[in-house]
Amino acid sequence: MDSPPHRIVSVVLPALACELVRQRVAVTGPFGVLLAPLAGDRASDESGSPEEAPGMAILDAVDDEARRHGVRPGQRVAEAAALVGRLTVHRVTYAEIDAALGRVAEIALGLGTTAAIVLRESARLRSPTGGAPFDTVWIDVTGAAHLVGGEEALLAELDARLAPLGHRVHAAIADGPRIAQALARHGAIAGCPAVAPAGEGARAMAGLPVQCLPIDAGMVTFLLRLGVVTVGDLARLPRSSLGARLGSQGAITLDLAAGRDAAPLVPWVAPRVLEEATSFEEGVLGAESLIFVLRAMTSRLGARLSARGEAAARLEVTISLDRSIARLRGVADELALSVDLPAPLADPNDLLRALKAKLERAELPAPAIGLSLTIPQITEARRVQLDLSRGTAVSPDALPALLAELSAEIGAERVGVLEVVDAHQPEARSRLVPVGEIAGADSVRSASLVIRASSFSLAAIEPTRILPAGVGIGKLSRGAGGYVDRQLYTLDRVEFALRLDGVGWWTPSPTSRDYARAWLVSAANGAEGAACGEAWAFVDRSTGEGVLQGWME
Amino acid sequence: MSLAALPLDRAVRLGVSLASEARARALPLGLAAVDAALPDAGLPRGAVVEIASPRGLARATSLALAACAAAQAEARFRSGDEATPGAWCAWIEPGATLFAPGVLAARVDLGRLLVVRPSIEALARVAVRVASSRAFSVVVVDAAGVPGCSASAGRSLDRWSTVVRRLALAVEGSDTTVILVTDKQAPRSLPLPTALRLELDRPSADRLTLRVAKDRRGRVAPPVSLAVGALSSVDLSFSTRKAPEEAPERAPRTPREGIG
Repeated sequence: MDSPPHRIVSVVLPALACELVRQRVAVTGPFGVLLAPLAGDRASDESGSPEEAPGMAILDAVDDEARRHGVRPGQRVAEAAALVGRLTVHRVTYAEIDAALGRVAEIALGLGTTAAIVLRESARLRSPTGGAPFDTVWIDVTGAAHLVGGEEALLAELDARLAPLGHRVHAAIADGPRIAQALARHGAIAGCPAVAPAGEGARAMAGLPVQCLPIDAGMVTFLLRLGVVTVGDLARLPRSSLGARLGSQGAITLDLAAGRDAAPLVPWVAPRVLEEATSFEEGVLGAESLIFVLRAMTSRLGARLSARGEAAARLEVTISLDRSIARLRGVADELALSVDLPAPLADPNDLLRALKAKLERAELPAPAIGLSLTIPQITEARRVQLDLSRGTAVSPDALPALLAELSAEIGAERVGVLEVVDAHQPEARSRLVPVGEIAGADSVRSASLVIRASSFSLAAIEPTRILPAGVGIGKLSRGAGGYVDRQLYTLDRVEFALRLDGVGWWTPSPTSRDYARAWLVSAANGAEGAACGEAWAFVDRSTGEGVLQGWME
Repeated sequence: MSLAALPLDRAVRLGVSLASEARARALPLGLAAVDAALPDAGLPRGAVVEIASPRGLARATSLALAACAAAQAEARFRSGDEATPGAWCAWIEPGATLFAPGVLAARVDLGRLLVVRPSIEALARVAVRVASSRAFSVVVVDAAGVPGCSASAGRSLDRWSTVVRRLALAVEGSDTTVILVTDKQAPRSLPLPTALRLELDRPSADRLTLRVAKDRRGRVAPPVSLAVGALSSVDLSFSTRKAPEEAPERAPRTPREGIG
């Protein structure tokens, strides 16, 4: 039995290079882009080195405004500058392109099983002006489309998920990656639907221009001169005569024209460290501007995390400062901030809240010229149980974001849950376990103590408040008095409760105390609202001094 | 018209609506004598409640802990499984004095009580942030502290008028109860705009007085005298809870009673 055909989505980003330039700097006016080769890939640098001969470099991409002025990819910079005097030229490296495609692949993986940013045989064809795969991401969605309501719905969902990245996207789905890519690139112009039904690749390709096939520009010109305009025209010609004419790519070209495309995807592996970075043309002084930039960054990171089903456990922000001013003021030229998230977060708003709390308290010693946001620790995202009474009931799902925010603002050691510690001295029996030590909300839940409902009375009296430091109140006997917070209290009643003898005998100063419940009355006793309370106090048996340690409140 | 006279589907809808409305109105504390003294037999939900006591004493902590324990027990009861963790509560205290064994003795699930210890300057901001999250059934804001911790002793409550309004807006329409523990002796230019103000006093070692000094519907009441043990006998079994058998002893009226 034949296996069902693969269904591949091709996501083409036609203006990726220009969009990356705009994300990096605020460009006004027409501009062109030179793609820089990867390190060690000098052989593929057909455009030459812009530093050595800037005018002779070949433009690889141009923005819409430059295109309106007649500038086209493939023109030399000098030629384009002659057409548009105020044309600016920017460089984008293949590393930046790959990173951008990787971000798209990360999000697209939420809808499929395998993503790829290069095809095996086309990787070596990577060149600035050819049909290089520097603008396409493929996703294998075989058997997955029904989960979102069909293939058309899947494309719509993909479009919505990619929206936070801010790229122009054309997507199509077909039986093979190259057919899908051709449909995505040329389908809209040719009036073809974005979805080629399974087994109907040939019919989908028939209406596309021959430029969509992997043949060189000379052959395309030759075919057009012969009147072979579309792939359908080519497919109607005898295969035996075309094979020799089309050269080494002939077999592949004819297979594609016949709707056969079995090229495998090279799986793209998601990085374990996510990073977003940007730079500023002019120094930024206030935290408000940085938070504005972080909003876009967290939006993109949130989309990537949620597509992976993962969440951030730690955030790191690095602010690059103006070196000259930083040196003048004697400070480092980088400001690093980090936020350890008590519970993993993936929602962009939650990430921003945690960062905002940290950044609002940071002072910039010099103007910022760059900002990078890194997620060095990624963990599996929490699953949230749907709740029918979510309307007015409390929402514990908001807790991780709040913990992150509070930890960033007041310090992780000031937020947590109390824990009873096994110790002799009463003051040592309580400890605040910081949320940072509690790995995730699930552990918080497992640490909870369930108390059975039954009749209960406070037979074993415990103080509810213990002072961080004891307050000396003189003699612990009836009628004695002492000052607490500059107010005089007298002891009306004292009841012995507990004796500790030689606790910590192995230390130089073992503890010997008599603990008591003391009824303290403020000096203004009798007046309305006088402060009276039951105190927890002890007598240090070595000195005989009474110490107020807490309150039985 | 009774529910029985209505068509079944409408009666069910109305019954559910009434039940949820009743549940949303007040959080019973499980302290029979205290619940009997409160206007709705509990603390109002979705509102700010002030517990004012001299220097934060007079068992204000026990009352707030009882509210936390009751909220957690109610969540367990509603889930139908005693092993289910209770609702989350929050305790915000700049004084860092809350003591785990005492909290446990008050039948509060320590694992479900988030303790936040901000500086006194950040207290209001953190309180609003915690309340706004709507992640908690009860949020206790300790603005009074206790004698000896000096975190907030003697501080004016003037700025808290704005904070209380923000807290009230943050929890409006939710099931969250915000309890603001204040020092009765702290200076304040105006009464705080809380939905309910309870005043606690401890005239003797074994007696407390509880007075509803302010209620948003005007149901103020004269002081009720309670035995201190009344705050220790907690009944958290929601299924078997009954109305108190005898009314608590009313303290003699004074000319100042009833002023909201």
